[in-house]
Amino acid sequence: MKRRQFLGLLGAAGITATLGTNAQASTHTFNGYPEAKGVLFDASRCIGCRKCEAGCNKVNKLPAPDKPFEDLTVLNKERRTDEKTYTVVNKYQGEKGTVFRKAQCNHCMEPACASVCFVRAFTKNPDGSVTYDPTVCVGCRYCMVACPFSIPAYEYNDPLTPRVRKCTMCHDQIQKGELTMPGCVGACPKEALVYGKRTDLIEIARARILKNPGRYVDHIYGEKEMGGTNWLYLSGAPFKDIGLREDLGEKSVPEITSGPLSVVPMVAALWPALLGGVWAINKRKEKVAEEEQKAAVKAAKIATKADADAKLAKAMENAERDKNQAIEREVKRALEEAAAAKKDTDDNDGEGA
Amino acid sequence: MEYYVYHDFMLHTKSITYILMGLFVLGFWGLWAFMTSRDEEIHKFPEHDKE
Amino acid sequence: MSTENKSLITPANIITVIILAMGLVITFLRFTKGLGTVTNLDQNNPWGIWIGFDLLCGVALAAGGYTTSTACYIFGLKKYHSAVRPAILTAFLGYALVVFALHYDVGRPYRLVYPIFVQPGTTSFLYEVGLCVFLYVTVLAIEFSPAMFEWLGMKNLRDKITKLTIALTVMGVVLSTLHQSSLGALYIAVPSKIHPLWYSPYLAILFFVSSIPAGLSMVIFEGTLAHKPWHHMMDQTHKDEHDGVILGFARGASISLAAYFCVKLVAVAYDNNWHYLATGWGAWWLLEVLGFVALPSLLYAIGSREKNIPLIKWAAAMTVVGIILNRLNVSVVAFNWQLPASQRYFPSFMEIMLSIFVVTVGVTVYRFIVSRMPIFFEHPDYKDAH
Repeated sequence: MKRRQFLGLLGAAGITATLGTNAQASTHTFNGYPEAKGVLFDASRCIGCRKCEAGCNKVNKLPAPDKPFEDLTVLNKERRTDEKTYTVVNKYQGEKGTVFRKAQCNHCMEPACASVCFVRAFTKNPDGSVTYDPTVCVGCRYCMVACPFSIPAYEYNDPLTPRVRKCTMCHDQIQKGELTMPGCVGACPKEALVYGKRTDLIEIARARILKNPGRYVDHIYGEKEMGGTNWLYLSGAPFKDIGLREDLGEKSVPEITSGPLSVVPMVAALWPALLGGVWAINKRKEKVAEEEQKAAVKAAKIATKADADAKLAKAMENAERDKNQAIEREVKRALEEAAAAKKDTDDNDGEGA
Repeated sequence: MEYYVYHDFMLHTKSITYILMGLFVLGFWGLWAFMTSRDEEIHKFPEHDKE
Repeated sequence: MSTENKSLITPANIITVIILAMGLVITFLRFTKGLGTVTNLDQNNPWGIWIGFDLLCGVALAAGGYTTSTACYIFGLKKYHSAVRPAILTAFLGYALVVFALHYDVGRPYRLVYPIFVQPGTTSFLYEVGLCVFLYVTVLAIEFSPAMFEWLGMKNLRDKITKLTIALTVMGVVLSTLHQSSLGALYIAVPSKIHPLWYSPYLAILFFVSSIPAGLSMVIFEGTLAHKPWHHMMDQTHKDEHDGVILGFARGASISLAAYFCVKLVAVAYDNNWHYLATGWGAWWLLEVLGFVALPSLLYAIGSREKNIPLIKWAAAMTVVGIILNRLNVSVVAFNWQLPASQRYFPSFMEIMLSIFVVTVGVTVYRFIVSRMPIFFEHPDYKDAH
């Protein structure tokens, strides 16, 4: 099995420590509800009689199946849970002969369905069961995507009020006192199913492995898988041969998603500051550019004005000079005329004398 | 309050975090508005207002 | 389109009417018979192309809204101003359609607001997506509203809202960062069902980073499509800036695609998944990453260097295809890869038709709006008012 380590996504922002069996959050450890119940399934005892399926169908008032529960030919094809069937028994060919395995919700200690549900429709109860509330469900089916055991089923043929259906470990019936144990457990004729405190079940399972050398694979499936489940499995055949994946890892979905989730608030905390800063810097640059342009225009204006003044002054000067010259010219001419007139008079006088 | 299930603990902490995120955004807006509220009276870039 | 003077019975219009009619039939079936009748979804395959295409691709390709407005308003690249309005409009329509399409996919669409107003499940990345999409559609509607107010001649409201531009843009980037990445993070919870080449704890970063070239490419791609039919609606500024926008965005897309390519490789290195590259899945991965990430990045670089606009448009189209390919790979192709072929999902005819219907509705509304409102031109009353 490959162990994945889910570090936070943005460097230091979301680093989670390497995790052991129990869920941890920095300084907290979570071991599940102390009184949580569970069921131990022993594949070496299961005879594939489908009585558990019938029992489940009865206590949950599910619709009658297409083929009766006595018909064992349905075992020839691998089935999964659906909206009318909370549990199924499948037949597998092991090395030592035929093995049967019951499938239903495993009631994870840290349920994937509850972790990904965006309306909290799933609840992990103190009795160990994981239950579903159809009164808030939107029908997005993310729980079905996320479930590593592919258990929740959906009422695809209900157009407006579809529900997600799955085993409840008979939570409601036990709470009401109608049952003392889940319907499937009560119906099993071979004691392949044991209902009890999860911590006790683990001890029972260990004892069976110890007392019967060679009968079991030395592993309790569900003790640690996906953070641990309340439904536990013992088997003589390798678990992967009886349809139980061995590559799921020990980390629960809440632990897997906690790193990436921890980065989410960083965006709200850091982006506005960063973007605001970038904007302000650009705004300032623009302002500076604008001021500089203004100053340049102003300077240009002053320069133009000085130039104009100089031209004007020169023009004035020219005009003055022209004027003076004109006056001089006029005076000169007047004087010349006067002198000429005088000479004429003198000449006339001379003639007249 | 003690939590037995990590998921329940996360629901609690993440809900607080989302409220904080809303406050962050409003807070940044408020801080910015406060910081720049006198910008019209005092010239923004005095060194460039000189002749 | 400029059909005012022509007959309404054009091939494009006939196809549009047929698609819309089929969409209405499927709508009727979906809400009377249920998803089981209309889709190929089953207990093992709860999410099909209505999530993989309509939601994931829709949101990624609508990223042009936040990328363009950030470039223009935050980074102060004023020369892209004429590209902002078309991009905001596309983003707004894109998100509106995503929300519209979700009404078909979820079982009880009348409860879509439950996660926000009734019972928030804050540990879910889907809650994050829902909250951000809800808020971002609102932000986009406000960002788009000035165009509508100009069209309706409501000057006061228009001026009040334009004062909020920067705050809205920052809000848009925050929300986009969050939900673009959260869409990828949806799949972080499912390491056991997605092929290791597409599963990565970096999915959130991969989705966010790839949304940037997706958005930029959509702006280029859509600008190309819009240029011909609405050329007469575009003012001189828009036409003058058009090539500049394409060249600038090509650079942005080239660099961001390169960054995305790097993260893609890091994701493979992180879990030491190199050996999968030698399998059939690996060939498919290499096609996606080399053919539709690395190659368009290079083409963009060449195109912007040589000012080769047609080449840039080709790169944009390839990038868009690459993003669609990636989103479908993560959500559909590589999802449940370990199941036998008989239990795998392939969309039904009606699922595909409904997705085409949703896109057609979007194009029709787009055509209605750009033919009337000041999108490709500046309203004469508000020239230089930015």
